[in-house]
Amino acid sequence: MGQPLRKRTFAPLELAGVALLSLLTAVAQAQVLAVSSDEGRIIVVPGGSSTIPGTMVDGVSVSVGVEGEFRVYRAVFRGETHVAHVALDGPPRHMAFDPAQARFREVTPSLLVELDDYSRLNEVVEAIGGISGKSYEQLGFAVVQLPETANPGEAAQALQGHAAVNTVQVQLSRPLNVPL
Amino acid sequence: MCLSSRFVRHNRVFAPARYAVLLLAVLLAGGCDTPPHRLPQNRLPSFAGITVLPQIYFQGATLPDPALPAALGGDAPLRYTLDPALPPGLTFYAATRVISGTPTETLAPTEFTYTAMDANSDTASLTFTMSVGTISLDADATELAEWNDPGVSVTVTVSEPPPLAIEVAVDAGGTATQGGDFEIDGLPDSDPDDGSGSVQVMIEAGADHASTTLRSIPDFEEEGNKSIELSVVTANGSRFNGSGPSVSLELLDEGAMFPDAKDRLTSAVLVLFNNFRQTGTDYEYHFAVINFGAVTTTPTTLRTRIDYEDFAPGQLLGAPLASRRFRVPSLPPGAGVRGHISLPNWIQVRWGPGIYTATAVVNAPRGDYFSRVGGFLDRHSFLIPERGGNPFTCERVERPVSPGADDPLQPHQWNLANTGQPAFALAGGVPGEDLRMTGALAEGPTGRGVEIAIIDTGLETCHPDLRDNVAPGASHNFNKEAWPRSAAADPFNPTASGDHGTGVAGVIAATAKNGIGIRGVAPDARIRGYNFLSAFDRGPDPTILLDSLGAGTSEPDSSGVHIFNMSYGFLHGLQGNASRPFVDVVEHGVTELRDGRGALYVKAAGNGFRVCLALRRQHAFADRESPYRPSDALGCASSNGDYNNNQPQLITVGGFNADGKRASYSATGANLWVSAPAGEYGRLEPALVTTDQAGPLRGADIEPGAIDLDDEPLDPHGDYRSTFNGTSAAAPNTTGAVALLLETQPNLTWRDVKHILAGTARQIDPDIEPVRIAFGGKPTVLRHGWITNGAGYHFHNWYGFGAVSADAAVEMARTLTPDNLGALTNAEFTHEGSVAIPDNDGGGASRTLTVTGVSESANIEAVELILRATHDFPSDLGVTLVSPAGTESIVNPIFNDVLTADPGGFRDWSLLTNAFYGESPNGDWTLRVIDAAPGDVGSLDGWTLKFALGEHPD
Repeated sequence: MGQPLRKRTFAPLELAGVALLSLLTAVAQAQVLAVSSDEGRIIVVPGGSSTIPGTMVDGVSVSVGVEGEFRVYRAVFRGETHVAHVALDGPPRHMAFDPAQARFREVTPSLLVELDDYSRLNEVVEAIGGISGKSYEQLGFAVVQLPETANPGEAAQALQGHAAVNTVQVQLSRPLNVPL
Repeated sequence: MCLSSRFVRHNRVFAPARYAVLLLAVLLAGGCDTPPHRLPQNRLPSFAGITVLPQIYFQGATLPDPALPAALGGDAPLRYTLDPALPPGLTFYAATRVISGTPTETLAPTEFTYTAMDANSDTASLTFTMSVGTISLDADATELAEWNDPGVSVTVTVSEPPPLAIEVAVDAGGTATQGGDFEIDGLPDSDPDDGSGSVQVMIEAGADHASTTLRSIPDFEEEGNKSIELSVVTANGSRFNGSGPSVSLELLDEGAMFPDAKDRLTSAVLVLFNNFRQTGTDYEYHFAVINFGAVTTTPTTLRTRIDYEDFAPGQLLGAPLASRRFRVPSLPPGAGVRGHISLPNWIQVRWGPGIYTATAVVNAPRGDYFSRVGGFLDRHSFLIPERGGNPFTCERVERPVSPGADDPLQPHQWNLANTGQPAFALAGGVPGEDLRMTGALAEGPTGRGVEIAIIDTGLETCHPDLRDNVAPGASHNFNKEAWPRSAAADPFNPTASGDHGTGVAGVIAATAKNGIGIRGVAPDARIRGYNFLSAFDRGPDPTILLDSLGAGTSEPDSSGVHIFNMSYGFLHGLQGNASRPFVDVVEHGVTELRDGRGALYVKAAGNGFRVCLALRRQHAFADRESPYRPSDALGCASSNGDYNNNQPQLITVGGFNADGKRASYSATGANLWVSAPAGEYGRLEPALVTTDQAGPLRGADIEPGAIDLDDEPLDPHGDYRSTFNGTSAAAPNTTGAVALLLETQPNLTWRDVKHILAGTARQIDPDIEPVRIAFGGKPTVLRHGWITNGAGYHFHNWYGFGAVSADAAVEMARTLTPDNLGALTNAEFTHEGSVAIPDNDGGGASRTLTVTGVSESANIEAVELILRATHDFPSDLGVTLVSPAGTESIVNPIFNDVLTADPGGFRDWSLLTNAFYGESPNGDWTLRVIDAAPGDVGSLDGWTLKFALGEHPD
């Protein structure tokens, strides 16, 4: 049998971001959090290698275990069990249970933030150890990029109390776009 | 009415025939038994003004007791006689003047004299003809197949051509159910409940026969063969009482193709190279193995290798330079694994410049299914140029350009002018099935002054047939981090396996009259490239989407773009709605760009018609060796299932081939706006001829087994390809046509452009038949023919409003008053309440929502339907919306592949339909949801209609 599929290496910038965010969220490590997304409230499950026992958030029981070569996410919602599998060997991925769609979805390492004063965007980015921020004031929001390993749920929660931030939303991943 | 009740009672026929018989009786009677006026005594009897029409009877058929007319005047009592004697079986009752009975022998047309004699023996007479003929019923086949049978022709023949048109009623009996198992043309009302009904066949005067067609209504159930007994029940009002001519047919059941759709679910393994990056001095080919299906895969292995080709494509060196074997674990639905194979620096040094091709092959897990998109194998090539060359930037090459000279490959561009040319395939198409732009080719417009962004894999900005039209410095490379030697303003695609964006660019804006290659639809438009699809590492980063689609003001500045060409879509999706960044940026683009007139977003519809990733519908008949597959008629993945396609601002484009039919892969849906040339695969049938990566070492030229143009004297340098297809090809044809409109009338708003395209689109494939299939014995329409909506627009889910007709659109643009469609407003109405959806029932569940209070002058520009339903397997559900004007739009087809791995129902799922364009929203809207397979049940829980409205001039 051949070699197992390997993890990706991280860019130096990403590693720096990971370190910053680790400091920020040391206490809240492995927290399952309900936060806002652009499609409503979702329950973000932290990535990484740890398992998570059954945790009840917003009426959804979420647990994470390891089965074979996958990290297995389970959510019990309205009597139904929903499952998602993420390969252990692979880039870090953050999953969230989306009650509106009744399924797990991947969360992107980015946040949509609405600010009163977009000149304070850098301040917001730095507050959560973000990689970068770009303002789209004409659309009414800015995008903050996070390190791949950062938990977007924790970053969103951290920004909710920030004086410059009106609202913050995590971004759910969409299916792969390909040339047609 | 002065007709006997007996007469009426004995003529149980459908209304039109009944009225005909009544009319005949009135003519026969000429009045009532009681004369209308009291007449003086000793007057002579008379038939003045009274005519008896030819009497046409049939052997064995009982007459409807026609009464001959009473004479006028005369002294009572009057006695009536007929001469000569009636044929055997018929009796004339003088007291009632009724001819009655059943003729037992034939009678050639014979003149009869009808005489009235009064008490004074005064007489009056008139003459009429009578005939007794025979009638027969025949069918041109004894069997009717359930699927893909054009039908059985049933013919009624009479021995004597009648002097008047007559109606013959044919009844259908047997074990098959009319209206459930079969239907007969011309039958006004089928009656599936009692399995009976009659069809009226009209034999014209002087003709001796008439025909109708009996067609099957297929279903997916195992029912066994059934019988159809056809018999003549009445002919010109005479009734056969079971003795009429008859014919028997056998309806052949073709079995349960997929009695439960879930039985057809499979895994769907796909391997694809999804990233190529430089790490230090090494290059990495990254791949993913993903299960897009609905069933867990079995464990398997994946082999990768890197091969080297010198600068002689096709000449492999032999043993691979590197190879690796990976273990692929069992993949649950939606799961994937990733990996990469490296091209280390020492190999590059050892072998030097050349083409390094990585191949990944998954060993097919037993029983697993793979998609036609890529399947178990994918390949990615990378060219290391000669010393000093940078593989990540566009290196200018020189070609013998001759300003003013014809473009040598233009005669092969059937999308511009289809003459039936094969375009390097084996056979050509149908002349005229093109963009209909003869005028523009001769005299312009050419897209001058129009800025177009190609949102794609890249753009070869220095391509010899493109570079004159590339806006300097306007393009952008989003993958700078992964390709350190690349340039920010150069979206050059370092792959040697072909650059999709460069193909798109050629269709839109290849330079005309430069003596090389091709010309674009809009050969003077200015283009730029954003390599949105090659930003592998940054794929989830919404800033790439925002910056590409008009919100970027720096790196890149996309705010000056007039048209965004989006020849991309989901590989395979799940139910869902567009993201906030996408919705917001498109809304921003149509309200703010082009100085508020709005940018145009032209989007490929998708290639999912035959991509049944999870549901193996296309093989449903494989065991039977039948050429017919339900998916050929209905498609697999709906275009509406790509939730970037359900925004009303978009121009979503389907593709047609050189025969003027839907391209075999083109996804369908109510969300389509128009269709445009896209072609097939360029081997048997034409694809499009367009620009390829320049030179013979990159692009289609190095595809294994590819039919390319590098051996063609018309393409001596390997800069073009003849195999470009997909709805990716349809979108740039439309983008080019839109550029012609914007040059013609720069003040057109984005809504004006859509209005013009809809108003001038050409109905292609005009004879496309509707598809009706029965579920639970109740037929339902799963595919319409072309419809004409309440505002007069033609629409079809396969083509939108039809094929883009460029010259007609330009002409309309010249005369249209810009920005005259009224203010764009929105209105929203919701239907609450739950109703059970009957399982496996073509009748389905229907609910009506009354829309009131919207301005009577409002015209619909788009309708979004937001669905809420609970169901164990929503892929069973088909959804049809019916407008107050009666226009039907299938917004979700049954067995939509998008829903197969997505149990639970519809969760505020937004679907777009353009079928109601121009109609008024006021009135009753009906939503019908059918469940097309047994076993899974659910309910419709609510729905919302969101209208985009204008006020269109008359």
